[in-house]
Amino acid sequence: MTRLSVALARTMALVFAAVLIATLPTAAQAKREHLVGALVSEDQSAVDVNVQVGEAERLAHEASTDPEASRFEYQRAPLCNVNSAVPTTPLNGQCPPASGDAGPNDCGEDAVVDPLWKRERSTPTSVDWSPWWQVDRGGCAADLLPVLTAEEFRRLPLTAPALTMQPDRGWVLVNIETIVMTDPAEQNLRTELLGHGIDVVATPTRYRYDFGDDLDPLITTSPGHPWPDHDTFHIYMRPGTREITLTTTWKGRYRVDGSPVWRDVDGTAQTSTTSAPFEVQERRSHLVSNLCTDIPQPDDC
Amino acid sequence: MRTRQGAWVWGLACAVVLATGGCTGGKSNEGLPSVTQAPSDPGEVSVPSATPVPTAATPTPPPEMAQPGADGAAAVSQYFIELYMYAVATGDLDEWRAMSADDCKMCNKVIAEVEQLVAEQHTVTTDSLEFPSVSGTEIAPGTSFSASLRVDQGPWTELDSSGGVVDTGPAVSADMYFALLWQGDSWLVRQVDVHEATPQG
Repeated sequence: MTRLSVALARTMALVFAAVLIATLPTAAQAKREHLVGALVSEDQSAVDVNVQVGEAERLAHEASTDPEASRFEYQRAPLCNVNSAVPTTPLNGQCPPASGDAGPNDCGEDAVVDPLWKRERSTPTSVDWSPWWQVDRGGCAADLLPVLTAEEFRRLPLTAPALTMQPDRGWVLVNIETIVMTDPAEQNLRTELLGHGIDVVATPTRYRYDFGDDLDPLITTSPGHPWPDHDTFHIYMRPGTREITLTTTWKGRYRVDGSPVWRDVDGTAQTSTTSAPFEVQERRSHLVSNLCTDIPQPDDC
Repeated sequence: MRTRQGAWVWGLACAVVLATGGCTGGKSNEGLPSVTQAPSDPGEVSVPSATPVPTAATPTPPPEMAQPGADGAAAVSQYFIELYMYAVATGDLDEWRAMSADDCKMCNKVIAEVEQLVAEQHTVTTDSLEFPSVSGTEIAPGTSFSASLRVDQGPWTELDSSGGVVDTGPAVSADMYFALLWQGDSWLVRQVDVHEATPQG
């Protein structure tokens, strides 16, 4: 084999190895799931929706004065832990020996809401009640409490955080950093929804500064720090009168009276703060005859 | 002796058969959107130069879905999963979107998956889909229903636009729980919980 053919073979081997490496899956390219396997999760949204509907139906039935309503009964009770096609409850008599994997809902520190059962009879006065059948799967107490929506969260009287500038003296210089910062403190609020008292905690998550010139706004998650540790600032390029507007985005969590569980608000709110107008000035250095700190100040200062 | 070209041709043919529900044995294909292949001359085993992209027939809504009720809810749950199989095989999300509530997490997950497949010009098929148990329950008379569904899905195959196998995955069984709403003339899927199950039997 000639030196040329050896070199050619080595080159081809390298190219082949490179192609092979390029086509091998890497750790960063995680295998994608498809079909039913891609949908498996711990999510209980359908359980939550159905227990809310079931509870509303139970309460409506309880309040109903329609004689026809007395043909039915609702009751919350545990589910027997059996592997049968038709779920049953101790309301229908003693549970068979445990054979399934059904257990009470996992609610952590929250109270468990048992499944809802229903039975019926042929007339409002007859005693031929049917067996109880399952209507919903129950849930947790927090599922049955009112939800604070994003719209309601936005209606709360959030106080816009203060906008602080450095320097803060009514004018700043072009081509020099103008520092901006704000207060990242959470806000605690109290409101009422459908007769329930609610504690709300609002936390600032994002800040947007519009500097009143043609340059892009500054969007950051940092509340900023004073000089010399500042990380949120702007450099004006041209003189003029400017205002800075700070738009703060807030996320919220809330706790309804009667439940120890904090829940996140599904959405955000915004507040806005605008600074007083200030001047962006251009200053030029020049030699003076004496110290400008002299009293009286020299005319050429 | 099988040549390298012969091995490639065999693999390609198997990929086509996989896409049409073959290359695996036995299980019922009932309820699965049928996947068809471009017609070829009768009596001739052809290996197309470019494998046709599989197409699937739109699932037909069962008649039980025309009315509110426990039976209707059960039918909706099964139809919805058939629609999923149809969507990943074709990229067509029209009916899926029409039946999905805006905040339905599982529905939106499927939409994202199918949109990505469409962007890549890929499709996904499975060779079997069975529903060992389906049931519906009325929660609020005439309006709100739940449905419970056990689904046994066979292995899946992801294909590129030329019919080449991109990836495969194993069979899976899952228990699904639906929150459904009858809107007067149509069904809305509000939420679906999907938990992995041990295959039955």
